[in-house]
Formats: sequence, structure tokens, C-alpha cells
Amino acid sequence: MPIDLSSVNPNLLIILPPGVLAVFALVVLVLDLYSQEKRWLAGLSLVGVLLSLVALWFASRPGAVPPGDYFGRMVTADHFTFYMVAVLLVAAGLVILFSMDWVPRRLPKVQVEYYELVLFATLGMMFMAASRDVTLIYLGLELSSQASYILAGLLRNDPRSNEAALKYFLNGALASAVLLFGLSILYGLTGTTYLPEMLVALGQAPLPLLVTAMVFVIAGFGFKVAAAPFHLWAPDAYEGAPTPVSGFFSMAPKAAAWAAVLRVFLEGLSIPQVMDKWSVLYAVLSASSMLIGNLTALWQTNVKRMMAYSSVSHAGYILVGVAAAARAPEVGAGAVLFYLLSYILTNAGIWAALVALENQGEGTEMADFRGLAQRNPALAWSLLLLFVSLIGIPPTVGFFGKFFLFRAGVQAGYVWLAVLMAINSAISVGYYYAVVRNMFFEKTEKPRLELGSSLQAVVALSVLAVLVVGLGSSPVIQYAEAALGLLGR
Amino acid sequence: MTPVFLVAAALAVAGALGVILSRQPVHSVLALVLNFLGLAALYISMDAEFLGVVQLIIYAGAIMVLFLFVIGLLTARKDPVEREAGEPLPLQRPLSIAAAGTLALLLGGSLLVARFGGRPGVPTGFGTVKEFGRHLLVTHVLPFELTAFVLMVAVVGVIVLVGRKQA
Amino acid sequence: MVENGYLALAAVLFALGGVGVLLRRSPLISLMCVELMWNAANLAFVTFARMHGNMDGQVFAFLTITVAAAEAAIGLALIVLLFRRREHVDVDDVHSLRG
Repeated sequence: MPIDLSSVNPNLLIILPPGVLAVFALVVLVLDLYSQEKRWLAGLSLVGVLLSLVALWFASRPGAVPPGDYFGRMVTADHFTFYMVAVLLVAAGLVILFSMDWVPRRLPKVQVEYYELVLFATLGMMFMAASRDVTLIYLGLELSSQASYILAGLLRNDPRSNEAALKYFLNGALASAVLLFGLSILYGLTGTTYLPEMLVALGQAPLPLLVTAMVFVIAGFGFKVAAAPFHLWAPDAYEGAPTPVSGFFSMAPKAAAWAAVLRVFLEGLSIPQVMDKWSVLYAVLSASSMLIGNLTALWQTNVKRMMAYSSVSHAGYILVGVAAAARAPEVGAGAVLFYLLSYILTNAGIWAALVALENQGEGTEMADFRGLAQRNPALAWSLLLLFVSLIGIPPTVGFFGKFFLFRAGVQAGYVWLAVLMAINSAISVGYYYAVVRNMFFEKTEKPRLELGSSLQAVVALSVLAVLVVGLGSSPVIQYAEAALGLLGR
Repeated sequence: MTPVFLVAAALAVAGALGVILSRQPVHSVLALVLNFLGLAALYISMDAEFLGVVQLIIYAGAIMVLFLFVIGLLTARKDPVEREAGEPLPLQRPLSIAAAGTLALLLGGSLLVARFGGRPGVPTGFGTVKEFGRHLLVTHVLPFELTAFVLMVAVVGVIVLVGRKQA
Repeated sequence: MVENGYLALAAVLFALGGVGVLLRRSPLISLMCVELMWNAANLAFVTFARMHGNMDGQVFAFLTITVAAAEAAIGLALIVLLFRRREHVDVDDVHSLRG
């Protein structure tokens, strides 16, 4: 479909946010060559993210871009796109902010490359969330994955970083091959890569092949979101990768992969013959992720590794919503979208604390948290609140996220899964409490832990958001549930 | 089954077998080139002339040379590439082969008998460079531009990871 | 239809690549086997494009080739990086990270 000249304006507006981000990434790349002082380029990257958010605000005003597909049906303007792109940009902004003090210390020679790679990865993720064509979803996934492999290996002289990056790469490449083969069968069955047309054409497709393709796609995405049993790369990648990069992994790429899962399954594969099948498959994945993630996390002594297993279990919680979305689309998908935001906001503060410890030359073992309440009371209490949110205790945003997922599960008839989620939240108290006990009830001789201004900002934003978005959750969840209503169904 | 298909398919399968059975990485690379040659012939036999040529130039040309280069670079130091330390677990070999065999039989079988509702014959100009370019640069212009960023990330990454600049 | 033979071939190549990834320990060979799997998927795309008489599959295959080139470069860089400090590279042979 050639681009119609009369629609040039919305066409440009809808790609303005990724466009701004791309321009800033390239400008930073070039300025790196001429600038001796690198620190301001980190600030410039952050400005790029903020301007991209502003552009998104312009594009998402009612009437600016009529809902529909642009650029040869590649980019979609709907609430789902706007919501997810905003979430991804917020995640990228927080990551850049909490890396600002860490990068000059640990990666003095490749400071600017770090920010570029984060920006490029974010660019890919924005297209993953914004497209209804599997071509662009796949390419966005590849762009973000490839930038992530490099980010994981940035600590060139640390063998653990090298191993983590290689393991992550080989698993990721395998996953992308499996996903690609699944997509090729879907294309073969329908003759199109555009999800809404795929949905129409799937009616006549032979069921066994369709289910095979579906399993391939689920396995491919399962790797990317680290759902058990496809999670084996995650703990090593999280532990070996540079700490802010691990934080980035737990926030942005997963959120983008969830967005792609919702798009592909709700818009492309939502014919009744297969809906129940993928719903049940996702329910099984959900149960195994919750149990494996939580039970393994109990034995960890390294907090980065513990957070990796914790993120596996959170993938399990999110899968409750995905499984429920087959039977109650608005409620299920709305709960998933809300949970993604809540998880990102909560995680940012926790990873900022880990980065702060590394900034003072300490590690990220459980023992390094000893006496943190003595060394920096404000940080310790903030962390306590954030862990409370991850467990899902009111009045934090984590509680509301879990509540919406629970409600979606019950409405969709997955009562056993919802109950399992509640039980697992109780199990998760065990390992979060281990950190809290170390912080509050152990003594230490170590000096006060100082946070730089940018880290303070991230922790403060995170704490504030956990309370504000938690107490004011109703507009957000309404927007998230409405996002699906406009998916074009 | 045309003769072209039979020969090219035999080439491709032989190449794939060569990749997984060779003891020497260099032999694996050469077998992979064989596989790509077979695939390129298959593409051309299916009216995908441009893709066939691209397959030869990019895959058999560029990527494989990169592989050979890395093997040369690494084996110049010692002989580490071909050592396969760590025997597979006792049942891993038969189980993997059985699993993959089942996959190939079931998937291949169902693809062999499935009907995909395509029409016989293709529109005029199908697969020509002109038609290909029109699709690539009109409907798929955004994915096409995104590949530029994918390549850019690869360039930045390779320089950061193994360039002379010490991190 | 004659194209179904091409598809069966794609499935066989995909399974062969999978077997290689499962059984070979050297990351270099694993990477080649993943390339095999990508190419199997590309073959399926091109065949389906021929069947349906539309070009989307061919364009997808072309974009995948580009992506695979970039991915191979990154993978090889990571392998070289690890090689510089270790005698041999082995996916299972991970000492400093617990499995």
C-alpha cells in the first residue's frame, strides 16, 4: 500500500517519538568523537528520552493521529501503543539516570557507547510495542536483543561478564530462530504478516500446524521474558552482566516482549479454536514460573541473582493475566499492562540501591546489605517499601497490580491460578525478608553509604511512584483496559 | 519434484549434516557454505532471484568469511576451537537425536501433506528485483530503515567488545 | 503441490540445526547451527511467498538475512572476547557462574 500524501501529517507524527530517540542516539554517537568530557552526553541521552516522551504526548492527543495503521500498515496508533511506548521510555529514562554515576567508574572508556546501546535497544522495543505487523515486531525484538547482548558483555576484563554475555547470546539466538520458524508457519497458513488479516485468514487453517506454530511462538517469546522452563539463561546473565544493565534487563526488554505477546496472541491468534489452547499453555507456564522462580530465589546469597529468580516469578504473575486475557481480554490485558508499569517503577529503586553499593566499591552479595539501616536509613526504609510493593502488600502499587491480575484470573475461571499466585506472594516474603533482616538487624562497621544526586532522584521517584500510582491506580487501570478496547477488535 | 530441487535439497542436507558432524570447525564452515549454495539454488528455483543472489553474497560470502577469519584468529594462538571438553550427559545424545527426529518427521510430514490455499501460478514480475525493491522501499520502508540501526548496533558492539580501546 | 517438498526440507534443516545446538559444545559450532535454523525458517518464508504469490515472505527473508549478519558479527565478537582469556570455549564449562 503506497503512502497517501494526504495522510503525511499523522504518518510523521506517529513516528516522531522513535524518530526523536533515533536522532538523539545518532547525535550522541557523533558528539562522542569530538568531546573530551563525556558526562554531559549522558545528560543529552536523557534529554532525548524526555523529548521523545514530549513527542509522544503530542502524538497521543485526541485527534492528532486518528487511530489506525501508518507507514504501510507497519505502525499502529492506538492507546496500547501510546501506553507501552510511554512505559518503555520511562524505563529507559530511569536506567540512564541510575547509570550516570556508575558508568564513569566502571566503564571509563566506553561511557557513551553504553548510553547509545540503551537508546538503540529502547528504539527497537518501541517498534515492538507499536506494530501490528510481525515483520516489524521481529525486527524490533532483534534490535533490542542485539543491543542487550553487547550491554551484557561490556565489562571486557571481567570473565563473568563475558560468559554471561555469551550464554545470553546463544540462548537468545536460539530463541529467535524458534520464534522465526513459528512466524514463518503462521505466514504460510495465512499469506500475510499483518496480524488483523492473519486473524481473518486463520479460520481455514489446518489446526495441527497452527498449534505447532503457536507452540514455537510461545517458546520463542518465553525465552525473551524468562518464563520457566525457558529461564535458565536469566540468573547467569543477571549476575554476570554489569549491575545497571541487569536492572535494565529486568525492566524494559521484558515489558516490550510482553507487549508483543499481547499483540500477537490477542490480535493475531484469537480465533476460538486456538484461544483456549494457548490460554492453557500460558497458565501452565505461569504456574511453573511462579513456583520455580520463588522456590529457587529462597536459596540465593547474591542479591542480583535473587532478583533474577524474583523476575522469573513475576513473569509467572504476569502470565496469569495473559492466560486470562484469552477469556476476558480487556480485564486480562489491562491487568498485564498495569503490572508492567508497577514492576518497572518498583524495580528501578531496588536496582538503584544495588548500583549505589557498587559505586562505593562493594559487591551485591546478601552480606553487603548488612547494617544498611545504620549506614543510610532513608535508603533502607525506601527499600523496605519497595520490597513490600514487590510482595504485594497495600497500599503500594504492587498490591494493586497483583489485585488486578487476581481479579482477571478469577473472572477468566482460573481460580486455581489466582490462588497459586497468592500463595507464591507469601513464599516470596521469605527471600525479600532475608535482605530486610540484613539491613535492619545486623551491625556493621562500614561507613555511611552515600548516594549521588541522580541515584537519590531514582530512589525518590520510585518510592513516590509506588505510593502515588498505587493510591491513584484507577485512571491508570482504566486507560490500560481501554487500551485493549481500541486494539482494533 | 524437479531435478533441480532434488540436487539442491541433497546439497543442503549434506551441508547441514557436515556442520554438525565435522570435528574441525573449518570443515563445519565449508559444509555450511555448501548448505547455503543449495539454499540459493532453491530460492532461484522459486522465482526469488534477488534473494538467491543475496544469499550467496551475504551468507556464503560475507558471513562465512567472517567465521573463517575468527577461526584463523583463534587457532593462530593455540588449538582451542575444536576441543569439545565435557562429554554430553549419558542419555543426552540419543534423546536429542530422537527428539529432533520426531520433530523433523512430524513437522516435515504435516508440512508435506498440508494444503495452504495458495493459488497456482504467480503474478507477473513476482520475485524480480524491480518488484522486490518496490516492496522493500514502499510498504516495508520502516523495517528496512530499522535494519540500518541493527547493523549500526552490530558495528558499535564489535568495536566496543573487541576493538583496541580498552574498557 | 511441489512446494510442499521445499517445506519438508525446511523442517528437516531446522531439526538438524536444533540437534547441533543440543549436542555440540563449542559456541562457534552452536552459532553455525543457529544459522542453519534461521536459514530453514527463511526457506519456509520464501516457499510460502511463492505459494501465496505475495512478496511479504521474500522481504521478511531478506530482512532476516541482514539481521543474521549483524547477529553473527556480535556472536563472533563475544566468542573472541572470551577466547582471549581462556584456553577453550565451552558453553557447559562455566566455572565462575553457578548453573
